[in-house]
Amino acid sequence: MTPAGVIQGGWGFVVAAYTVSAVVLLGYAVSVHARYRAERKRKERS
Amino acid sequence: MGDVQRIMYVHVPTAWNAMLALTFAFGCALVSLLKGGWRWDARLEAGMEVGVVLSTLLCIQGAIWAKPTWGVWWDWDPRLTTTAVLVFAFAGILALRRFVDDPVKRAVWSAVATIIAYVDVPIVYFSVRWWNSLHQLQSSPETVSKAFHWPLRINAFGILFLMCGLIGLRTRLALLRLESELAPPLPPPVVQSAPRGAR
Repeated sequence: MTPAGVIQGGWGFVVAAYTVSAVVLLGYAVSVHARYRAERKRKERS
Repeated sequence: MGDVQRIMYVHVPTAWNAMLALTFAFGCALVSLLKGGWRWDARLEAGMEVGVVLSTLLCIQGAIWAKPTWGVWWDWDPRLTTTAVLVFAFAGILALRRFVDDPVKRAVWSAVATIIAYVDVPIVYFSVRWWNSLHQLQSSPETVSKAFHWPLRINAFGILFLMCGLIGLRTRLALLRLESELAPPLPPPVVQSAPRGAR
């Protein structure tokens, strides 16, 4: 028997939270890196 | 709470680091106003952008946690509302920076706006103590059982190192942009007139 107050299941939410965190952090890191490289290239050309 | 409590190991470290990034931006705003210097303005921009990304992620993680525990994705609870205000305030300052072309005015205005917006950070932190809130009180290694200390610390330091790296790289990007903005304009091309005898 499950103790009172314990939420059954919920793994889907756990996976969603960690996936969203990985996607957001990785996406932002890639975005900063890409912008930095583009700015450096632009500076080298000028 | 069951399996859902595993969200805490990413939600709480994200919250700590979001507040840390915005505190860093606040410190840079103060130094930028008092001492001046483009480096502090670049650091301010970097800290604020990383802080906004982490705060937005914090709200998304919170919504994913709220649904199975509270039954709703979002509630106008004091902690959630003050955090939403925080995200919009700092995102607004980042937008303001985009609209101001003069780098001197941009540095001063965004530093002042950052100091004003930072007032919300302690309000977010203490909101769960000051008002009746659905949100639980602040979590720390002291409030969770010993078995959970390490997962919480490992994630906290992981996000901290990532945040420091991102702030560093974003600062360099902001400095590169500032350099090209502040560089003196190139002299107009010299039009050489043809020598007299050539006509």
